[in-house]
Amino acid sequence: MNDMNSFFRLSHNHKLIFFSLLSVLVLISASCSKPDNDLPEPIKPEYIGKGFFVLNQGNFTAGNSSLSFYNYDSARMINNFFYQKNDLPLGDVGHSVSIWNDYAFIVVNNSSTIWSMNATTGKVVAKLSGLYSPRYIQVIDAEKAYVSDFNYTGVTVINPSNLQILGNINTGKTTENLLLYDTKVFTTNWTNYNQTTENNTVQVIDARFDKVSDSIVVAKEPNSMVLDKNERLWVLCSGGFMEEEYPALFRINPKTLSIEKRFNFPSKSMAPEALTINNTADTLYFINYHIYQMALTDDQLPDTPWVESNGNSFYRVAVDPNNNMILVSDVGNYMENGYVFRYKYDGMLVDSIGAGIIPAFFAFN
Amino acid sequence: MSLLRILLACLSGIWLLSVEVLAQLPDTLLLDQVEVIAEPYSIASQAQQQKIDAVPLRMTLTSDVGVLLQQYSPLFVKSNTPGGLTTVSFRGSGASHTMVLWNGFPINSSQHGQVDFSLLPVFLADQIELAWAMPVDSYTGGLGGTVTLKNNPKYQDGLKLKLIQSAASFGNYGSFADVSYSGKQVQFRTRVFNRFGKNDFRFLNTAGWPPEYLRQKDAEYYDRGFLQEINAFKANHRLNFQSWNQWNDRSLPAIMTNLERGGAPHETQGENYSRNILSYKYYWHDGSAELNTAIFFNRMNYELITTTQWPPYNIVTHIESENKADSWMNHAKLSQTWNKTNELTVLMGFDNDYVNTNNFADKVSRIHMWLKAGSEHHFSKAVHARLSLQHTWVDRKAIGLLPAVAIDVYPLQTPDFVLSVFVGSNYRLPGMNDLYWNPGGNPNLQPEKASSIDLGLFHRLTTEAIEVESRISTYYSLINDWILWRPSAYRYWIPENIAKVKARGLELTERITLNIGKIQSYLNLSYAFTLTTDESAVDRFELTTGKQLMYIPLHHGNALLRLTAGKLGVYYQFEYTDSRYTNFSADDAHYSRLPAYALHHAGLSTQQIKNFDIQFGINNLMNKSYQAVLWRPMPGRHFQLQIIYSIPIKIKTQSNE
Repeated sequence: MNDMNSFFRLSHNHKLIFFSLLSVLVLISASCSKPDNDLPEPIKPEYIGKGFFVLNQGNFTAGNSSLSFYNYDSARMINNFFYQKNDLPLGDVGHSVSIWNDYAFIVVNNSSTIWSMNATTGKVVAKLSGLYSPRYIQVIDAEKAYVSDFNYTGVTVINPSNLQILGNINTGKTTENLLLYDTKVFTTNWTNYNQTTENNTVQVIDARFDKVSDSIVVAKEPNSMVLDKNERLWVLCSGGFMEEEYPALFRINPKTLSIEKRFNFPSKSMAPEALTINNTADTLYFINYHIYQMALTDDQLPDTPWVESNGNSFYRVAVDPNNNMILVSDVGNYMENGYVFRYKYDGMLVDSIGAGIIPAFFAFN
Repeated sequence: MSLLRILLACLSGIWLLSVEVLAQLPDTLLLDQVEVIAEPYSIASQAQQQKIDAVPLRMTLTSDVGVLLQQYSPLFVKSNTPGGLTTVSFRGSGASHTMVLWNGFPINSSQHGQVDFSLLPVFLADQIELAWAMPVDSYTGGLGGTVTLKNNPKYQDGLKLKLIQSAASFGNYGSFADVSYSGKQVQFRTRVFNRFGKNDFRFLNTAGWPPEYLRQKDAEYYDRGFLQEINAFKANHRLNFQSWNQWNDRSLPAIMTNLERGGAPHETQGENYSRNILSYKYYWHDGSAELNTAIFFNRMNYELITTTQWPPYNIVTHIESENKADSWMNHAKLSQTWNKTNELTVLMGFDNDYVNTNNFADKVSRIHMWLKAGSEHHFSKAVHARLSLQHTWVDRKAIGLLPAVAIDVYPLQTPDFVLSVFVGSNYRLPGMNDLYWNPGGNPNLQPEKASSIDLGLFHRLTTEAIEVESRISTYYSLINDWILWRPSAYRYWIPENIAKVKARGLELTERITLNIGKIQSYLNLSYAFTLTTDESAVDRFELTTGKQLMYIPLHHGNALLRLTAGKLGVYYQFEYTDSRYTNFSADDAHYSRLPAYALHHAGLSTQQIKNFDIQFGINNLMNKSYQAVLWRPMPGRHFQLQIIYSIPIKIKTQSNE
């Protein structure tokens, strides 16, 4: 206390200077300087026309996922379309887009978020957060949709009209792709990351009762599936991350759940993925370093590529329902902007369009 | 009046106490004849190295080395969050290209090659130096540069006890204790510290819908540890032992776009290490010999847990990563001077790294041997030359020769004005993660190699009233075989020696101390212009060729002005960081660039007014909202108030040891 007294016995000038400076500092700090918000102004909402969306994944934990939109009329790709329309970042690791009626459901995996966006204006309508690690969404009707998950062993049931969570279906395994056929939803068990269960099955969920009704054993890592014009389910398996098995393509009867055909790839080091089907549902496409085309009636896997890689890193294939062009994304080295290549049915390249980082999914409005 | 005093004491709020217990010295001292043993004048040019001044060291005594370098050096410091992962870059090089030496031994992780500077307390270092060129008389430096932390023994200082308590905004507290006893020929010193913080600062979440102010969560840290030193010398022999032990626990906060993840994710990292060095040195008239051995143990654990959102809160995700990395290093050094104008130094090292982690398929080890010869010649009083040649083996396989030459010109034949040129090459071994990560590790990786040329000028002007110290350097470096992880043809990512980077730029540091009447002023300025571009051979990705690397600002600088009049002082600090790319996207106007920002800090202090030292500081005075890393918030305006209280205590000591 004596020393405290000593402080207050400072010379008058010293005290005056000290407390004057202290007051100045307090005044400066008390002045409200609004934090900067350096984000640019958003574009006014308007009808965006017909075209296709490209969901760019971005880099894990970088928060730089984005949505691009290609307008047919202007033949122009607008990158960072979502941000420009909504003044909002999309999030971290955009994984898939599903269009239902006039709505686009954008699943952003590492942000655990699903955006509901008006697919004709690009404006956000609703947002669902708090999921675990969502991957795909399958709309069943106006009041129910399933969301698959990379971490949670099941699917989340939501109302697509208002993005409210209705419940969960525990499947015992994590889920990936979703496909609706009649009253059944087929889901692939793609990964066994952080699990001890096998990742070599396609589970069947009865959408009337929200319960797992059956399971089909395929090969390891079923990564994509499509339904053909003959109402047959095709499932493509890459054989396992550590190359444990031979990759395989399965044709399954979704009514009887029986495997009608199995096509084995010749080498375990192959990793076929991104199975898709054309608009008439009679021709398959998939990526196995190159791009391959296969008719439903083929009795063996194609030997020669439909389009060769030529050093490109192909990631996703889709068929444009509006013009039958085959869209292929190229992610480059995963760090810089990727590209979208458009091909005709005969494999002739039409054009290449710049997209965002890791263009990973296509959707058509 | 007493009520006013109490009120003022309470308004102060935050106390920093330093209690120094000093031995009472006798009035008359009978001095024995002593032999002064000290390090020779450093044979790395003054233009290529910088010792951090005592003023910044004292101002950041309770902070980490990352904060010190951010505010008082031209280096670029990248921090995820205060108290979180903090890395340092020299001249646009990578974080793993910054070598950190503690008393001559590297503390960089053998797994990833980096150092987290938030885990290095300034309190534990007596001296901190920066070196841009590879020194010829010590361990090979980093490709970008070297940060050296030193502990200097002190003798005949008696018994000293120092206690420090700090507190600051956002629940940050620190307790520090420093006890030392030193006699004529022996010193025991123990430093203990304990720091923790909540980091729950308020920030504007611009990723929210709509943007909203939130409090940062899951950003706590808790660091504690001790440094034990035992130093002794007798005649020409010197023996030193240091043991640095530290335990660090951190919660890892999510980025702004991921704040609404389900499952209440809890992500933590714990890192504990024990670093022990034993050194023996023998001096003779014109030379010395050293034997140094070091054993380092490092344990790092990472954990992520998420649970279901409803009872019984079953675990949904549980990821654990355990990493054990140990090193045993042995260095020997022989120095001999002849004719007082020539010095020859021979160094050799035998280092063993061992790593055991669940991320590798098996335990791994690596032996790194090197032999280095360096010499310094004084051709005249005006021209000195330094040469070195190093040969390296890794697991008995020769890496190659590393030559370096430096010429220092002293136009005034004094160390106060030096022009220097340095040309040399260096390397960095791949980290063990690069070699052995499962899957993807590439055991065939080659070391990254750099060639560089550095032109420097150092000038010091000293008069009665003013001292001005200037350091300017310009450089050009080419780094080849830079390791980058890339996606492989079918599966996982693998590292390859594919990148080529050119770094060139200019660095300037200026220190001015000026006395005008009763006012003493101290000005410290640092500026760096850094142009570091990717020059890798690419095909159609020409958009990235020649582009500035991510997170490297073109301009970066800081300034400190401190005015002291009698026992009162005031300081003002300024930091500027230019805009930075965050990805290689060439035309992305929204995410590809983080905007430039300037920060202002200011404070007041009193010194030793009847044993009181008071320091009041406001950081980020203008409450600037900024991001050093994309989507990672940084704190706005925050305060720190220190009151140092010293009490002399009389302690009887023996006058002769």
